[in-house]
Amino acid sequence: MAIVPAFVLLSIVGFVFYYSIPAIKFMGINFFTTFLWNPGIQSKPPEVVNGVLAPFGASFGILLFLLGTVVTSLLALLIAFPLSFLLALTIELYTPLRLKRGLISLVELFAGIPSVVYGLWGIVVLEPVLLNSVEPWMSANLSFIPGFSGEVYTGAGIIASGIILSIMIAPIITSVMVNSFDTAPEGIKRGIISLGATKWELGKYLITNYSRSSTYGGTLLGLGRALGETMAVLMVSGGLVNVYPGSIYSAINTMAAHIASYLDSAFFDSTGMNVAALAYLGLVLMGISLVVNIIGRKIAGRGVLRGYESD
Amino acid sequence: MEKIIEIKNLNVKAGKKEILKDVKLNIYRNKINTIVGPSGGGKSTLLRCLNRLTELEPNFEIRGEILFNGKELREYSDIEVRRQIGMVFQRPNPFPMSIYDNVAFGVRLQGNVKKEKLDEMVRTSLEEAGLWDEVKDDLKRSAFTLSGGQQQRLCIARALVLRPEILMMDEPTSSLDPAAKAKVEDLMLDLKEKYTVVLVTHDIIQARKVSDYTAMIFNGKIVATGEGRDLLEESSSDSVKSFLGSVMA
Amino acid sequence: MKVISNDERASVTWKNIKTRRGKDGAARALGYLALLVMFGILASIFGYIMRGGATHITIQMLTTVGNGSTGGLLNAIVGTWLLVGVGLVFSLPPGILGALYFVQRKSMTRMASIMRMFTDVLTSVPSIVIGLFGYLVLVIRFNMGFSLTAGGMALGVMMLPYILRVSELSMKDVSKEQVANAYALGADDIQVATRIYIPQAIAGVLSGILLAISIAAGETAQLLYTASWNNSFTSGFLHSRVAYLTYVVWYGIDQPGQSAHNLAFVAALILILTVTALIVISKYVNYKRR
Repeated sequence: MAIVPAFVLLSIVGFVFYYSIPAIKFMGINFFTTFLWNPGIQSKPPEVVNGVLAPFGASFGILLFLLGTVVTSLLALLIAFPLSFLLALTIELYTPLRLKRGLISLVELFAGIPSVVYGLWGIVVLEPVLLNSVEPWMSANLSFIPGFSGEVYTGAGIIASGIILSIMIAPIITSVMVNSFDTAPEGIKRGIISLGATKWELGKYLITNYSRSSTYGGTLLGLGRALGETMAVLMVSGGLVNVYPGSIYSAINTMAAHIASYLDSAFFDSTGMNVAALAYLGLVLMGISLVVNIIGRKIAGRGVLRGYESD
Repeated sequence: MEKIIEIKNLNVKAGKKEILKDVKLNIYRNKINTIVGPSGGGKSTLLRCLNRLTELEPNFEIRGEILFNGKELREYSDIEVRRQIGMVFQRPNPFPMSIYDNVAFGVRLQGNVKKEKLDEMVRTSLEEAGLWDEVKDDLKRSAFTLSGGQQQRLCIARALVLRPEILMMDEPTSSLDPAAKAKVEDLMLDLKEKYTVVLVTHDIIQARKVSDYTAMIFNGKIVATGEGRDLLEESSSDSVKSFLGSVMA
Repeated sequence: MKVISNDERASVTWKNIKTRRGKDGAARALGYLALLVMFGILASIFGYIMRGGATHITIQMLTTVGNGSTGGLLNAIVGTWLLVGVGLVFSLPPGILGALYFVQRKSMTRMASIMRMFTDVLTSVPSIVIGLFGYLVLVIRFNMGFSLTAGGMALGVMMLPYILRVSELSMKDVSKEQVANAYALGADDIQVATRIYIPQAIAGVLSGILLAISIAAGETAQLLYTASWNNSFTSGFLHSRVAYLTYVVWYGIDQPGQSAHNLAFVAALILILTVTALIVISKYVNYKRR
């Protein structure tokens, strides 16, 4: 029975790969270098390209979705990392023990909120705030930064997606950091304080030395979650297709969100190429997620201190 | 006999539990001041009151007066207190870094010092801790490659680098083997030339060997004080004898 | 040895204590601000959904079926639990048995550590990829069609590694001595599992299962193309399409008209209350254990 997870994982990888073979043959490397996603014309007879049957005029490029995934995830990290560090520092050092457990539970509650609920909140609360106050202000005052000038559209898009994702991954990063601060040997913490360090200096030491690898690892786990998140981004991204985002206020699309929003249209392609292209996209998304997560886990789990018994 | 610390009517409570009761004690400059007593008697808490490490415990309630160089301890900044009163713990606690970085840690944390000066300070401290000759060729080595006794002397060097007035040692030899223990004991005798040493121990033999002034603490109370070795001889008063009996048992 | 003079002590230029304290104070202030921001957001999420949901919830909504933008939520509420139930059927046996395998004597072998790695990696497959896999393999290749079975299995894929790892963690706390004694008395693996590991770790395992349910109940992306949606109850049960609450949140808020939005809010309210309750119960169960 312990073999079931491995079996399931290998089936997922195997089958998704198997179903993407026609698209791999059809698009090859152009899949990564073009940004147009054209389902082709069903009313015209399909044509054979590179030995596989595809709808007339079809072409599939994921550059836009790759860009969207990277930009929204990085924006999320940019917000979530300092936020998580401050949260972990505060929970660990600046909070009385009695409150600490409660705060950790609240952080866990955050991680348990369904992504559609985050999406709903993003639509009814975040988007109006971005649209009416934040983005107009940014456009007026920060236009000297490349990408920050231009028109404000609907509030949905890059900024909304980045913020929602950051709220979703901050609890993950925070709990890895808190855990790592917690497991730092008392001897080290006491030793540093007795040399005259302030709590801030202790926290800085922990994050840059003792907990460094957990910090990187936890951040990568958060990034992994952000890369694969579907529903919340689908709801607040604006669903951009076939157009480059002109500025940071633009709508956007990610790999995960595109699969979710496009699969039902793909059913109607009698050649199956549209579904195969989504499988190819899924394969790429899964590959990136798995690599990020595996590295994150490896780093986070690496014992920092060999030969140090805990008190 | 110059007093460096004067403790008057110190009371410490953790919740409802009284850890220290009406403690009166003087610490004398350039002497080895020893606090002996059984485990759980409040020795370590008393020590931690002196560098205000007790402030890390949220439920400690501390009343009384502690004068350090004639000034109330609370009027100093905690940073300053910990710079002037160094501490070594029961179990060696080297940081996960090189020998050099371990010793330099305190100075880098607290001071602005040039490389050459830092090198010199690290060397002096390691010499004072009697470790220099053993590690001088290999300062970049991880501190964890040292033996237990060497690690403890490294921790002493790490405390000395801040040039403290007082060095507090909380049962510094209890996790060491006899040879390493003897080395640390000899070291204490050297150190009192330059520093005031406060030693906490439950080891009467160790106290007899090194102590100049001894206080006995039992259930949070100081039960006897006196010129070190005399107090610990068998010929002392009955109360001390019965106390010794309870400690040795 | 020479005595350290006051001059020597003064020869080091110490950093300014006020500056260092200032930085510490600033970090503390920023930290509290971060807490405030985070819990402000949490309060905002709960507040908006409570208000939007509580003001529009009606008995009728909870007792009639609907299509995601009009009507009620009964089919979605029932469907969510059916999907979670089917997910449990597929994930619980391999989860618990897998945990037993890892925690018993073979846990140190190379094979076990590879299997354990696969289990961890399975948790990081994006849910939409599981959904895509469910569609391609379960719905199409195995001819299940959009159905409760396909949706439940897709959820099970996500629940399995979770249940397995949490169970393993709580079984690890079982006293090694007792286990060794049992073996010494001639017990076999199965007896050790049923008499020692499972009874002692039951609270931890249970709390892990509850957490897995709370996550599964809030999932959407796996279900879009496996369970699809159903405007009524599942007529063919395992073989027919099924409704679920998260769909209503996603679909309803995107439809024009206040009534669809109200439905989305009520669905979201039921979801966060369910999830919060499950998390609290799971914490309580785990807490009782200690």
